[in-house]
Amino acid sequence: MKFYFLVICSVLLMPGLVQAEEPPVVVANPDAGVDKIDKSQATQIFLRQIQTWPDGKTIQPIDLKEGSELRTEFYSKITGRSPGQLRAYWARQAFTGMGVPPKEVGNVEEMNKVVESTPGSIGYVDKNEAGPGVKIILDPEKN
Amino acid sequence: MRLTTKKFNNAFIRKLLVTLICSHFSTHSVLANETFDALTKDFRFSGFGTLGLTYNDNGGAGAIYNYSQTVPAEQGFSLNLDSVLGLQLEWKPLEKTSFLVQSVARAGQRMEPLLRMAYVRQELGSEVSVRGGRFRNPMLFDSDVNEVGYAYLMSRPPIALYSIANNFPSIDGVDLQWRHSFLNTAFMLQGYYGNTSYQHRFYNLNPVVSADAQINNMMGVALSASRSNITVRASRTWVDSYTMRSSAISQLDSGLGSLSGGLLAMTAYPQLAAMSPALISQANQISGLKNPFDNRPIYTSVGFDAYWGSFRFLGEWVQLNSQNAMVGKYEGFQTTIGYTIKDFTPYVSFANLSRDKGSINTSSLNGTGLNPMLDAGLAQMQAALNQSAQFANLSSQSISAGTRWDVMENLDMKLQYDFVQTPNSMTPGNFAVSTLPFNNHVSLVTLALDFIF
Repeated sequence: MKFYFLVICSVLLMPGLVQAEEPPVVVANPDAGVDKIDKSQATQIFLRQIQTWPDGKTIQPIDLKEGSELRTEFYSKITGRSPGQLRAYWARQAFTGMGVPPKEVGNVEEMNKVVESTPGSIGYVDKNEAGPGVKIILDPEKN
Repeated sequence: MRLTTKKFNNAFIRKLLVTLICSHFSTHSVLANETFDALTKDFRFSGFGTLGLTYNDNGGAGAIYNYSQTVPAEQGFSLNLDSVLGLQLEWKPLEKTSFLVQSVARAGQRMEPLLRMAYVRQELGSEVSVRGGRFRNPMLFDSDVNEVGYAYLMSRPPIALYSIANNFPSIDGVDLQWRHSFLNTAFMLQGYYGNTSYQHRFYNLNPVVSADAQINNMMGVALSASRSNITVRASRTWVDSYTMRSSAISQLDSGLGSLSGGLLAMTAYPQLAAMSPALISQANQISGLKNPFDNRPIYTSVGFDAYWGSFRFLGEWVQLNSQNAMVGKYEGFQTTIGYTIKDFTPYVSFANLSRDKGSINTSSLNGTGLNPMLDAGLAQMQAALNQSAQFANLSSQSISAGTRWDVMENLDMKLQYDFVQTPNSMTPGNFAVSTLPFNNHVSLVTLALDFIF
Protein backbone atom coordinates (compact mmCIF):
# COMPACT_ATOMS: atom_id res chain seq x y z
CA MET A 1 0.00 0.00 0.00
CA LYS A 2 2.82 2.36 0.93
CA PHE A 3 4.48 1.48 -2.38
CA TYR A 4 1.42 2.49 -4.41
CA PHE A 5 1.09 5.69 -2.40
CA LEU A 6 4.72 6.57 -3.19
CA VAL A 7 4.24 5.77 -6.87
CA ILE A 8 1.15 7.97 -7.10
CA CYS A 9 2.87 10.82 -5.27
CA SER A 10 5.93 10.52 -7.50
CA VAL A 11 3.81 10.63 -10.62
CA LEU A 12 1.87 13.66 -9.42
CA LEU A 13 5.05 15.47 -8.55
CA MET A 14 6.76 14.80 -11.87
CA PRO A 15 6.89 18.31 -13.28
CA GLY A 16 6.36 17.35 -16.93
CA LEU A 17 3.21 15.39 -16.27
CA VAL A 18 1.78 17.95 -13.92
CA GLN A 19 2.42 20.65 -16.48
CA ALA A 20 0.84 18.65 -19.26
CA GLU A 21 -2.43 18.63 -17.37
CA GLU A 22 -2.43 22.41 -17.05
CA PRO A 23 -4.33 24.05 -19.88
CA PRO A 24 -2.31 26.49 -21.96
CA VAL A 25 -3.04 30.16 -21.48
CA VAL A 26 -2.55 32.92 -24.02
CA VAL A 27 -0.07 35.57 -22.99
CA ALA A 28 0.76 38.90 -24.54
CA ASN A 29 3.26 41.69 -24.30
CA PRO A 30 2.14 44.11 -21.58
CA ASP A 31 1.74 46.84 -24.20
CA ALA A 32 -0.68 44.81 -26.33
CA GLY A 33 -3.85 46.80 -26.89
CA VAL A 34 -6.17 44.32 -25.13
CA ASP A 35 -6.48 42.70 -21.73
CA LYS A 36 -8.76 39.88 -22.73
CA ILE A 37 -9.58 37.92 -25.87
CA ASP A 38 -11.78 34.90 -26.51
CA LYS A 39 -10.96 31.59 -28.20
CA SER A 40 -12.31 32.76 -31.50
CA GLN A 41 -10.07 35.82 -31.52
CA ALA A 42 -7.07 33.75 -30.46
CA THR A 43 -7.73 31.39 -33.36
CA GLN A 44 -7.90 34.26 -35.81
CA ILE A 45 -4.73 35.79 -34.44
CA PHE A 46 -2.68 32.59 -34.58
CA LEU A 47 -3.99 31.82 -38.07
CA ARG A 48 -2.95 35.40 -38.92
CA GLN A 49 -6.39 36.29 -40.15
CA ILE A 50 -6.35 39.22 -37.77
CA GLN A 51 -3.03 41.04 -37.97
CA THR A 52 -3.53 44.22 -35.94
CA TRP A 53 -4.55 45.02 -32.39
CA PRO A 54 -7.51 47.36 -31.93
CA ASP A 55 -5.06 50.27 -31.57
CA GLY A 56 -3.66 49.53 -35.04
CA LYS A 57 -0.35 48.06 -33.91
CA THR A 58 0.85 44.91 -35.63
CA ILE A 59 0.24 41.61 -33.85
CA GLN A 60 3.28 39.33 -33.65
CA PRO A 61 2.09 35.80 -32.86
CA ILE A 62 4.79 33.49 -31.52
CA ASP A 63 4.53 29.70 -31.81
CA LEU A 64 6.29 26.87 -30.10
CA LYS A 65 8.15 24.54 -32.42
CA GLU A 66 6.13 21.83 -34.12
CA GLY A 67 6.14 18.60 -32.15
CA SER A 68 5.76 20.39 -28.83
CA GLU A 69 2.96 18.84 -26.76
CA LEU A 70 1.88 22.24 -25.55
CA ARG A 71 1.55 23.52 -29.11
CA THR A 72 -0.57 20.53 -30.09
CA GLU A 73 -2.74 21.02 -27.02
CA PHE A 74 -3.07 24.75 -27.64
CA TYR A 75 -4.22 24.36 -31.22
CA SER A 76 -6.47 21.45 -30.38
CA LYS A 77 -8.19 23.18 -27.46
CA ILE A 78 -8.19 26.77 -28.66
CA THR A 79 -8.54 26.50 -32.44
CA GLY A 80 -10.01 23.02 -32.78
CA ARG A 81 -7.41 22.08 -35.39
CA SER A 82 -5.16 19.06 -35.48
CA PRO A 83 -1.44 19.38 -36.30
CA GLY A 84 -2.13 17.99 -39.78
CA GLN A 85 -4.92 20.49 -40.44
CA LEU A 86 -2.72 23.28 -39.24
CA ARG A 87 0.18 22.28 -41.49
CA ALA A 88 -2.19 22.06 -44.43
CA TYR A 89 -3.52 25.53 -43.61
CA TRP A 90 -0.02 27.03 -43.57
CA ALA A 91 0.99 25.15 -46.70
CA ARG A 92 -1.91 26.81 -48.43
CA GLN A 93 -0.98 30.24 -47.18
CA ALA A 94 2.71 29.85 -47.97
CA PHE A 95 2.46 28.37 -51.46
CA THR A 96 -0.18 30.79 -52.62
CA GLY A 97 1.80 33.75 -51.33
CA MET A 98 -0.97 34.76 -48.96
CA GLY A 99 0.84 34.47 -45.65
CA VAL A 100 3.56 32.92 -43.55
CA PRO A 101 3.20 31.13 -40.22
CA PRO A 102 4.13 32.80 -36.93
CA LYS A 103 7.72 32.92 -35.74
CA GLU A 104 8.72 29.92 -33.64
CA VAL A 105 10.60 29.56 -30.41
CA GLY A 106 12.05 26.42 -28.88
CA ASN A 107 10.50 26.35 -25.41
CA VAL A 108 8.26 28.11 -22.91
CA GLU A 109 11.16 29.99 -21.34
CA GLU A 110 12.05 31.47 -24.68
CA MET A 111 8.39 32.18 -25.37
CA ASN A 112 8.12 34.25 -22.17
CA LYS A 113 11.29 36.12 -23.05
CA VAL A 114 10.26 36.91 -26.64
CA VAL A 115 6.70 37.93 -25.73
CA GLU A 116 7.98 40.14 -22.93
CA SER A 117 10.48 41.92 -25.16
CA THR A 118 8.54 42.17 -28.44
CA PRO A 119 5.88 44.86 -28.70
CA GLY A 120 2.57 43.54 -30.03
CA SER A 121 3.54 39.92 -29.50
CA ILE A 122 1.30 37.13 -28.29
CA GLY A 123 2.09 33.55 -27.38
CA TYR A 124 0.96 30.69 -25.18
CA VAL A 125 2.43 28.90 -22.18
CA ASP A 126 1.36 26.53 -19.44
CA LYS A 127 -0.71 28.45 -16.95
CA ASN A 128 1.80 27.99 -14.14
CA GLU A 129 4.70 29.01 -16.35
CA ALA A 130 3.54 32.45 -17.43
CA GLY A 131 6.42 34.82 -16.76
CA PRO A 132 6.11 37.98 -14.68
CA GLY A 133 6.80 40.16 -17.73
CA VAL A 134 3.78 38.99 -19.76
CA LYS A 135 0.07 39.30 -19.22
CA ILE A 136 -2.47 36.50 -19.50
CA ILE A 137 -5.21 37.53 -21.91
CA LEU A 138 -6.98 34.21 -22.34
CA ASP A 139 -7.38 31.53 -19.72
CA PRO A 140 -9.67 28.85 -21.18
CA GLU A 141 -10.58 27.65 -17.67
CA LYS A 142 -12.06 31.05 -16.89
CA ASN A 143 -13.77 31.67 -20.24
CA MET B 1 11.92 20.18 -41.26
CA ARG B 2 9.58 23.13 -41.21
CA LEU B 3 7.68 24.36 -44.16
CA THR B 4 8.09 28.07 -44.54
CA THR B 5 9.92 29.28 -41.51
CA LYS B 6 12.91 27.18 -42.38
CA LYS B 7 15.77 29.56 -42.78
CA PHE B 8 18.16 29.35 -45.61
CA ASN B 9 20.91 28.03 -43.41
CA ASN B 10 22.25 24.96 -45.08
CA ALA B 11 25.98 25.41 -44.57
CA PHE B 12 27.04 24.02 -47.90
CA ILE B 13 24.57 26.07 -49.88
CA ARG B 14 25.44 29.16 -47.89
CA LYS B 15 29.12 28.73 -48.63
CA LEU B 16 28.41 28.09 -52.28
CA LEU B 17 26.28 31.20 -52.51
CA VAL B 18 28.88 33.20 -50.66
CA THR B 19 31.32 32.34 -53.39
CA LEU B 20 28.88 33.01 -56.19
CA ILE B 21 27.17 36.15 -54.94
CA CYS B 22 29.94 37.88 -53.09
CA SER B 23 32.46 37.49 -55.85
CA HIS B 24 30.48 40.26 -57.48
CA PHE B 25 30.91 42.52 -54.50
CA SER B 26 34.34 42.00 -53.11
CA THR B 27 37.50 39.98 -53.37
CA HIS B 28 38.00 40.15 -49.61
CA SER B 29 36.56 37.03 -48.04
CA VAL B 30 35.71 38.60 -44.66
CA LEU B 31 33.77 41.38 -46.28
CA ALA B 32 32.24 38.85 -48.66
CA ASN B 33 30.91 36.75 -45.79
CA GLU B 34 29.47 39.79 -44.04
CA THR B 35 27.87 40.94 -47.25
CA PHE B 36 26.50 37.50 -47.82
CA ASP B 37 25.06 37.20 -44.32
CA ALA B 38 23.33 40.52 -44.77
CA LEU B 39 21.95 39.42 -48.12
CA THR B 40 20.75 35.94 -47.25
CA LYS B 41 19.58 36.08 -43.66
CA ASP B 42 16.02 36.61 -44.78
CA PHE B 43 15.86 33.97 -47.47
CA ARG B 44 13.33 31.21 -47.08
CA PHE B 45 13.47 28.14 -49.28
CA SER B 46 10.57 25.69 -49.36
CA GLY B 47 8.78 23.31 -51.63
CA PHE B 48 5.91 20.94 -52.18
CA GLY B 49 5.22 17.90 -54.24
CA THR B 50 2.86 15.09 -55.06
CA LEU B 51 3.64 11.63 -56.29
CA GLY B 52 0.25 10.55 -57.55
CA LEU B 53 -0.46 7.24 -59.22
CA THR B 54 -3.81 7.16 -61.01
CA TYR B 55 -5.63 4.23 -62.54
CA ASN B 56 -8.01 5.16 -65.36
CA ASP B 57 -10.42 2.46 -66.52
CA ASN B 58 -11.45 4.22 -69.74
CA GLY B 59 -9.63 3.69 -73.02
CA GLY B 60 -11.24 6.63 -74.79
CA ALA B 61 -10.94 9.38 -72.19
CA GLY B 62 -7.56 10.59 -70.98
CA ALA B 63 -7.73 12.24 -67.56
CA ILE B 64 -6.33 15.76 -67.66
CA TYR B 65 -5.72 18.46 -65.11
CA ASN B 66 -6.07 21.19 -67.73
CA TYR B 67 -6.01 21.67 -71.49
CA SER B 68 -2.27 22.37 -71.53
CA GLN B 69 -1.46 18.87 -70.37
CA THR B 70 0.94 17.32 -72.85
CA VAL B 71 0.52 13.73 -71.66
CA PRO B 72 -2.95 12.77 -70.41
CA ALA B 73 -3.40 9.97 -67.89
CA GLU B 74 -4.64 7.35 -70.34
CA GLN B 75 -6.16 3.96 -69.58
CA GLY B 76 -4.20 2.02 -67.00
CA PHE B 77 -1.76 3.37 -64.45
CA SER B 78 -0.21 6.79 -64.85
CA LEU B 79 1.64 9.41 -62.85
CA ASN B 80 0.53 12.20 -65.17
CA LEU B 81 -2.61 13.55 -63.51
CA ASP B 82 -1.42 14.75 -60.11
CA SER B 83 2.34 14.35 -59.86
CA VAL B 84 4.05 17.68 -59.40
CA LEU B 85 7.12 19.19 -57.79
CA GLY B 86 7.20 22.83 -56.70
CA LEU B 87 10.10 24.91 -55.37
CA GLN B 88 9.79 28.33 -53.80
CA LEU B 89 12.29 30.95 -52.75
CA GLU B 90 11.27 34.00 -50.79
CA TRP B 91 13.51 36.89 -49.87
CA LYS B 92 12.48 39.58 -47.42
CA PRO B 93 15.21 42.21 -47.52
CA LEU B 94 13.09 44.81 -45.76
CA GLU B 95 10.45 44.64 -43.05
CA LYS B 96 7.62 45.35 -45.47
CA THR B 97 9.09 44.25 -48.78
CA SER B 98 9.50 40.72 -50.09
CA PHE B 99 10.26 38.91 -53.31
CA LEU B 100 8.98 35.44 -54.12
CA VAL B 101 9.65 32.99 -56.94
CA GLN B 102 7.88 29.66 -57.34
CA SER B 103 8.40 27.14 -60.09
CA VAL B 104 6.59 23.86 -60.67
CA ALA B 105 7.17 20.85 -62.86
CA ARG B 106 4.24 18.57 -63.66
CA ALA B 107 4.57 14.99 -64.82
CA GLY B 108 1.69 15.62 -67.24
CA GLN B 109 3.81 18.27 -68.88
CA ARG B 110 6.97 16.16 -69.04
CA MET B 111 8.38 17.88 -65.93
CA GLU B 112 9.05 21.03 -67.89
CA PRO B 113 9.68 23.84 -65.37
CA LEU B 114 6.84 26.37 -65.27
CA LEU B 115 6.98 29.68 -63.45
CA ARG B 116 3.91 29.96 -61.22
CA MET B 117 4.82 32.96 -59.11
CA ALA B 118 7.43 35.72 -59.37
CA TYR B 119 6.40 38.87 -57.63
CA VAL B 120 7.40 41.67 -55.36
CA ARG B 121 5.14 42.33 -52.40
CA GLN B 122 4.99 45.63 -50.61
CA GLU B 123 3.04 46.18 -47.42
CA LEU B 124 1.45 49.60 -47.19
CA GLY B 125 0.68 50.14 -43.55
CA SER B 126 -0.59 47.30 -41.41
CA GLU B 127 -3.68 46.30 -43.40
CA VAL B 128 -2.86 46.82 -47.06
CA SER B 129 -0.40 45.05 -49.31
CA VAL B 130 0.20 45.06 -53.04
CA ARG B 131 1.85 42.47 -55.24
CA GLY B 132 3.23 43.04 -58.71
CA GLY B 133 4.44 40.32 -61.06
CA ARG B 134 3.14 36.80 -61.54
CA PHE B 135 0.89 35.29 -58.89
CA ARG B 136 -1.50 32.36 -58.65
CA ASN B 137 -4.96 32.78 -60.11
CA PRO B 138 -7.37 33.71 -57.30
CA MET B 139 -10.48 33.39 -59.46
CA LEU B 140 -12.18 30.54 -57.57
CA PHE B 141 -12.07 29.46 -53.93
CA ASP B 142 -9.33 26.89 -54.47
CA SER B 143 -7.92 27.91 -57.85
CA ASP B 144 -4.70 29.19 -56.28
CA VAL B 145 -3.98 26.06 -54.26
CA ASN B 146 -4.96 23.21 -56.53
CA GLU B 147 -1.42 22.10 -57.32
CA VAL B 148 -0.42 21.92 -53.66
CA GLY B 149 -1.86 18.54 -52.77
CA TYR B 150 -0.71 18.70 -49.16
CA ALA B 151 -2.71 21.87 -48.60
CA TYR B 152 -5.93 20.35 -49.88
CA LEU B 153 -8.18 17.78 -48.25
CA MET B 154 -8.76 15.70 -51.39
CA SER B 155 -6.37 14.58 -54.11
CA ARG B 156 -7.37 17.67 -56.06
CA PRO B 157 -10.26 20.13 -56.26
CA PRO B 158 -12.96 18.36 -58.32
CA ILE B 159 -11.86 18.59 -61.94
CA ALA B 160 -15.48 18.57 -63.06
CA LEU B 161 -15.84 22.03 -61.55
CA TYR B 162 -12.31 23.39 -61.73
CA SER B 163 -11.91 22.64 -65.43
CA ILE B 164 -13.06 26.20 -66.05
CA ALA B 165 -10.15 27.67 -64.07
CA ASN B 166 -7.26 25.21 -64.30
CA ASN B 167 -6.15 26.37 -67.75
CA PHE B 168 -4.55 29.51 -66.40
CA PRO B 169 -2.99 28.86 -63.01
CA SER B 170 -1.20 32.23 -62.88
CA ILE B 171 -1.80 35.86 -63.75
CA ASP B 172 0.78 38.47 -64.72
CA GLY B 173 -0.29 41.73 -63.19
CA VAL B 174 -0.99 43.32 -59.83
CA ASP B 175 -3.20 42.58 -56.89
CA LEU B 176 -4.11 44.57 -53.85
CA GLN B 177 -5.15 43.05 -50.54
CA TRP B 178 -6.87 44.86 -47.75
CA ARG B 179 -7.33 43.00 -44.47
CA HIS B 180 -9.55 44.38 -41.79
CA SER B 181 -11.28 42.85 -38.81
CA PHE B 182 -14.70 43.88 -37.70
CA LEU B 183 -17.20 42.25 -35.34
CA ASN B 184 -14.90 39.30 -34.66
CA THR B 185 -14.71 38.64 -38.37
CA ALA B 186 -11.53 38.97 -40.43
CA PHE B 187 -12.27 40.38 -43.86
CA MET B 188 -9.98 40.35 -46.83
CA LEU B 189 -10.76 42.29 -49.95
CA GLN B 190 -8.60 41.40 -52.91
CA GLY B 191 -8.58 43.17 -56.24
CA TYR B 192 -6.56 41.78 -59.11
CA TYR B 193 -5.75 42.71 -62.65
CA GLY B 194 -3.55 41.12 -65.30
CA ASN B 195 -3.00 39.06 -68.38
CA THR B 196 -2.04 35.47 -68.97
CA SER B 197 -1.57 32.94 -71.73
CA TYR B 198 -1.28 29.21 -72.21
CA GLN B 199 -1.21 26.53 -74.87
CA HIS B 200 -4.67 25.06 -75.36
CA ARG B 201 -4.50 21.59 -76.82
CA PHE B 202 -7.19 20.25 -79.10
CA TYR B 203 -7.14 16.55 -78.27
CA ASN B 204 -9.75 15.80 -80.94
CA LEU B 205 -7.33 16.62 -83.74
CA ASN B 206 -4.90 14.03 -85.02
CA PRO B 207 -2.14 14.89 -84.46
CA VAL B 208 -3.09 16.99 -81.43
CA VAL B 209 -2.47 20.67 -82.11
CA SER B 210 -2.21 23.59 -79.73
CA ALA B 211 -3.72 27.04 -79.91
CA ASP B 212 -2.15 30.12 -78.37
CA ALA B 213 -4.71 31.15 -75.79
CA GLN B 214 -4.33 34.74 -74.68
CA ILE B 215 -6.28 36.27 -71.80
CA ASN B 216 -6.05 40.05 -71.66
CA ASN B 217 -7.37 42.59 -69.20
CA MET B 218 -8.53 40.14 -66.59
CA MET B 219 -9.94 42.04 -63.66
CA GLY B 220 -11.49 40.69 -60.52
CA VAL B 221 -12.48 41.25 -56.96
CA ALA B 222 -12.79 38.77 -54.11
CA LEU B 223 -14.12 39.27 -50.62
CA SER B 224 -13.53 36.72 -47.92
CA ALA B 225 -14.83 36.72 -44.38
CA SER B 226 -13.25 34.44 -41.80
CA ARG B 227 -14.30 33.54 -38.31
CA SER B 228 -12.48 31.00 -36.22
CA ASN B 229 -14.13 27.99 -37.84
CA ILE B 230 -15.42 29.18 -41.18
CA THR B 231 -14.25 31.14 -44.20
CA VAL B 232 -16.71 32.36 -46.80
CA ARG B 233 -15.44 33.84 -50.04
CA ALA B 234 -17.18 35.46 -53.00
CA SER B 235 -15.48 36.58 -56.18
CA ARG B 236 -16.24 37.92 -59.61
CA THR B 237 -13.78 38.10 -62.49
CA TRP B 238 -14.19 39.81 -65.82
CA VAL B 239 -12.03 39.02 -68.84
CA ASP B 240 -12.02 41.60 -71.58
CA SER B 241 -10.50 39.36 -74.21
CA TYR B 242 -9.93 35.58 -74.29
CA THR B 243 -8.64 34.62 -77.72
CA MET B 244 -7.33 31.46 -79.33
CA ARG B 245 -5.11 31.41 -82.36
CA SER B 246 -3.70 28.39 -84.16
CA SER B 247 -3.09 27.09 -87.63
CA ALA B 248 -6.24 24.96 -87.34
CA ILE B 249 -8.31 28.00 -86.40
CA SER B 250 -6.70 29.99 -89.21
CA GLN B 251 -7.74 27.26 -91.65
CA LEU B 252 -11.25 27.39 -90.24
CA ASP B 253 -11.32 31.18 -90.64
CA SER B 254 -9.95 30.87 -94.13
CA GLY B 255 -12.69 28.38 -95.05
CA LEU B 256 -15.34 30.66 -93.58
CA GLY B 257 -13.87 33.55 -95.57
CA SER B 258 -13.99 31.54 -98.78
CA LEU B 259 -17.59 30.51 -98.21
CA SER B 260 -18.58 34.05 -97.35
CA GLY B 261 -16.78 35.29 -100.46
CA GLY B 262 -18.47 32.62 -102.56
CA LEU B 263 -21.91 33.82 -101.44
CA LEU B 264 -20.99 37.44 -102.14
CA ALA B 265 -19.71 36.44 -105.60
CA MET B 266 -23.08 34.94 -106.40
CA THR B 267 -24.75 38.31 -105.93
CA ALA B 268 -22.97 39.41 -109.11
CA TYR B 269 -25.22 37.14 -111.18
CA PRO B 270 -28.16 39.19 -112.55
CA GLN B 271 -30.44 36.15 -112.25
CA LEU B 272 -29.89 36.14 -108.48
CA ALA B 273 -30.45 39.87 -108.01
CA ALA B 274 -33.63 39.24 -106.03
CA MET B 275 -31.72 37.04 -103.61
CA SER B 276 -28.81 39.42 -103.17
CA PRO B 277 -29.87 40.90 -99.81
CA ALA B 278 -30.36 37.43 -98.34
CA LEU B 279 -27.02 36.21 -99.73
CA ILE B 280 -25.20 39.28 -98.38
CA SER B 281 -26.79 38.76 -94.98
CA GLN B 282 -25.83 35.08 -94.99
CA ALA B 283 -22.26 35.97 -96.03
CA ASN B 284 -21.97 38.45 -93.17
CA GLN B 285 -23.28 35.91 -90.68
CA ILE B 286 -20.71 33.38 -91.89
CA SER B 287 -17.93 35.96 -91.49
CA GLY B 288 -19.18 36.50 -87.96
CA LEU B 289 -18.35 32.87 -87.16
CA LYS B 290 -14.62 33.49 -87.53
CA ASN B 291 -12.45 32.88 -84.46
CA PRO B 292 -15.30 30.93 -82.89
CA PHE B 293 -13.57 30.41 -79.53
CA ASP B 294 -12.89 34.08 -78.79
CA ASN B 295 -14.95 35.15 -75.82
CA ARG B 296 -15.27 37.61 -72.94
CA PRO B 297 -15.96 35.43 -69.92
CA ILE B 298 -17.28 36.48 -66.55
CA TYR B 299 -16.58 34.12 -63.65
CA THR B 300 -18.54 34.21 -60.41
CA SER B 301 -17.87 32.10 -57.35
CA VAL B 302 -19.17 31.75 -53.81
CA GLY B 303 -17.49 29.20 -51.60
CA PHE B 304 -16.84 28.23 -48.02
CA ASP B 305 -14.58 26.09 -45.88
CA ALA B 306 -15.89 25.23 -42.41
CA TYR B 307 -14.86 23.21 -39.38
CA TRP B 308 -17.40 21.83 -36.95
CA GLY B 309 -15.84 19.59 -34.34
CA SER B 310 -14.24 16.77 -36.27
CA PHE B 311 -16.26 17.59 -39.37
CA ARG B 312 -14.97 19.59 -42.29
CA PHE B 313 -17.27 21.05 -44.92
CA LEU B 314 -16.24 22.55 -48.23
CA GLY B 315 -18.59 23.93 -50.83
CA GLU B 316 -18.62 26.23 -53.81
CA TRP B 317 -20.98 27.47 -56.46
CA VAL B 318 -19.57 28.85 -59.69
CA GLN B 319 -20.89 30.41 -62.84
CA LEU B 320 -19.11 31.01 -66.12
CA ASN B 321 -20.73 33.25 -68.66
CA SER B 322 -18.43 33.26 -71.69
CA GLN B 323 -20.70 35.56 -73.70
CA ASN B 324 -19.95 33.29 -76.63
CA ALA B 325 -22.26 30.66 -78.08
CA MET B 326 -19.45 28.25 -78.92
CA VAL B 327 -17.89 28.27 -75.45
CA GLY B 328 -21.24 28.50 -73.68
CA LYS B 329 -22.52 29.39 -70.25
CA TYR B 330 -22.00 27.12 -67.26
CA GLU B 331 -23.17 26.71 -63.71
CA GLY B 332 -21.74 24.29 -61.24
CA PHE B 333 -21.14 23.44 -57.63
CA GLN B 334 -19.19 21.13 -55.41
CA THR B 335 -19.81 19.95 -51.89
CA THR B 336 -17.41 17.96 -49.75
CA ILE B 337 -17.68 16.51 -46.27
CA GLY B 338 -14.78 15.12 -44.27
CA TYR B 339 -14.50 13.68 -40.78
CA THR B 340 -11.20 13.54 -38.92
CA ILE B 341 -10.38 10.55 -36.74
CA LYS B 342 -6.87 10.99 -35.38
CA ASP B 343 -4.61 11.11 -38.45
CA PHE B 344 -7.26 9.97 -40.90
CA THR B 345 -9.83 12.11 -42.65
CA PRO B 346 -12.23 10.15 -44.83
CA TYR B 347 -14.29 12.31 -47.17
CA VAL B 348 -16.93 12.26 -49.88
CA SER B 349 -17.48 14.87 -52.53
CA PHE B 350 -19.94 15.61 -55.28
CA ALA B 351 -19.36 18.08 -58.10
CA ASN B 352 -21.42 19.09 -61.08
CA LEU B 353 -20.85 21.46 -63.99
CA SER B 354 -23.65 21.99 -66.52
CA ARG B 355 -23.66 23.94 -69.72
CA ASP B 356 -26.84 25.73 -70.70
CA LYS B 357 -28.75 24.37 -73.65
CA GLY B 358 -27.83 27.16 -76.02
CA SER B 359 -25.16 26.42 -78.59
CA ILE B 360 -23.56 28.06 -81.56
CA ASN B 361 -26.03 28.86 -84.33
CA THR B 362 -24.66 27.48 -87.59
CA SER B 363 -27.87 27.93 -89.60
CA SER B 364 -26.08 30.51 -91.73
CA LEU B 365 -24.14 27.55 -93.12
CA ASN B 366 -27.29 25.84 -94.39
CA GLY B 367 -27.14 25.02 -98.10
CA THR B 368 -28.32 27.63 -100.59
CA GLY B 369 -29.61 25.23 -103.23
CA LEU B 370 -27.90 27.40 -105.84
CA ASN B 371 -24.50 25.81 -106.27
CA PRO B 372 -23.73 22.19 -105.38
CA MET B 373 -20.04 22.86 -104.76
CA LEU B 374 -20.74 25.81 -102.51
CA ASP B 375 -23.41 23.85 -100.65
CA ALA B 376 -20.98 20.97 -100.11
CA GLY B 377 -18.48 23.43 -98.63
CA LEU B 378 -21.17 24.96 -96.40
CA ALA B 379 -22.25 21.54 -95.17
CA GLN B 380 -18.68 20.54 -94.44
CA MET B 381 -18.06 23.73 -92.49
CA GLN B 382 -21.33 23.37 -90.59
CA ALA B 383 -20.39 19.85 -89.57
CA ALA B 384 -16.93 21.02 -88.47
CA LEU B 385 -18.32 23.83 -86.32
CA ASN B 386 -21.04 21.66 -84.80
CA GLN B 387 -18.44 19.06 -83.94
CA SER B 388 -16.19 21.72 -82.41
CA ALA B 389 -19.13 22.86 -80.29
CA GLN B 390 -19.63 19.28 -79.11
CA PHE B 391 -15.95 18.97 -78.18
CA ALA B 392 -16.05 22.29 -76.36
CA ASN B 393 -18.71 21.10 -73.92
CA LEU B 394 -17.15 20.73 -70.46
CA SER B 395 -20.31 19.51 -68.69
CA SER B 396 -19.65 16.69 -66.28
CA GLN B 397 -20.31 15.50 -62.78
CA SER B 398 -18.23 13.53 -60.35
CA ILE B 399 -18.62 11.70 -57.12
CA SER B 400 -15.49 11.07 -55.11
CA ALA B 401 -14.70 9.17 -51.95
CA GLY B 402 -11.39 8.79 -50.28
CA THR B 403 -9.30 9.29 -47.22
CA ARG B 404 -6.38 11.46 -46.25
CA TRP B 405 -3.86 10.00 -43.86
CA ASP B 406 -1.42 12.41 -42.22
CA VAL B 407 1.38 9.88 -42.09
CA MET B 408 3.99 12.08 -40.49
CA GLU B 409 4.99 15.69 -40.23
CA ASN B 410 4.85 17.25 -43.70
CA LEU B 411 3.72 14.06 -45.44
CA ASP B 412 0.27 12.74 -46.20
CA MET B 413 -1.09 9.85 -48.20
CA LYS B 414 -4.41 9.88 -50.02
CA LEU B 415 -6.46 7.16 -51.58
CA GLN B 416 -9.33 8.45 -53.69
CA TYR B 417 -11.92 6.99 -56.02
CA ASP B 418 -13.63 9.24 -58.57
CA PHE B 419 -16.53 8.33 -60.76
CA VAL B 420 -16.93 10.95 -63.48
CA GLN B 421 -19.59 11.04 -66.12
CA THR B 422 -20.63 13.48 -68.79
CA PRO B 423 -24.26 14.03 -69.86
CA ASN B 424 -23.95 11.77 -72.89
CA SER B 425 -21.48 10.02 -75.16
CA MET B 426 -21.23 13.12 -77.39
CA THR B 427 -20.05 15.36 -74.53
CA PRO B 428 -16.35 14.92 -73.66
CA GLY B 429 -16.33 17.06 -70.50
CA ASN B 430 -12.85 17.74 -69.17
CA PHE B 431 -11.24 14.68 -70.75
CA ALA B 432 -8.78 14.25 -73.58
CA VAL B 433 -11.14 12.63 -76.06
CA SER B 434 -10.10 12.05 -79.66
CA THR B 435 -13.35 10.79 -81.15
CA LEU B 436 -17.02 11.07 -80.38
CA PRO B 437 -19.10 9.22 -79.34
CA PHE B 438 -17.08 7.83 -76.46
CA ASN B 439 -17.71 5.87 -73.28
CA ASN B 440 -18.69 8.74 -71.02
CA HIS B 441 -18.27 6.90 -67.69
CA VAL B 442 -14.81 7.13 -66.20
CA SER B 443 -13.50 5.65 -62.98
CA LEU B 444 -10.27 6.93 -61.52
CA VAL B 445 -8.44 5.49 -58.53
CA THR B 446 -5.64 7.61 -57.14
CA LEU B 447 -2.97 6.81 -54.60
CA ALA B 448 -0.98 9.93 -53.80
CA LEU B 449 1.83 10.99 -51.50
CA ASP B 450 1.88 14.72 -50.81
CA PHE B 451 4.79 16.38 -49.09
CA ILE B 452 6.08 19.80 -48.19
CA PHE B 453 9.44 20.94 -46.96
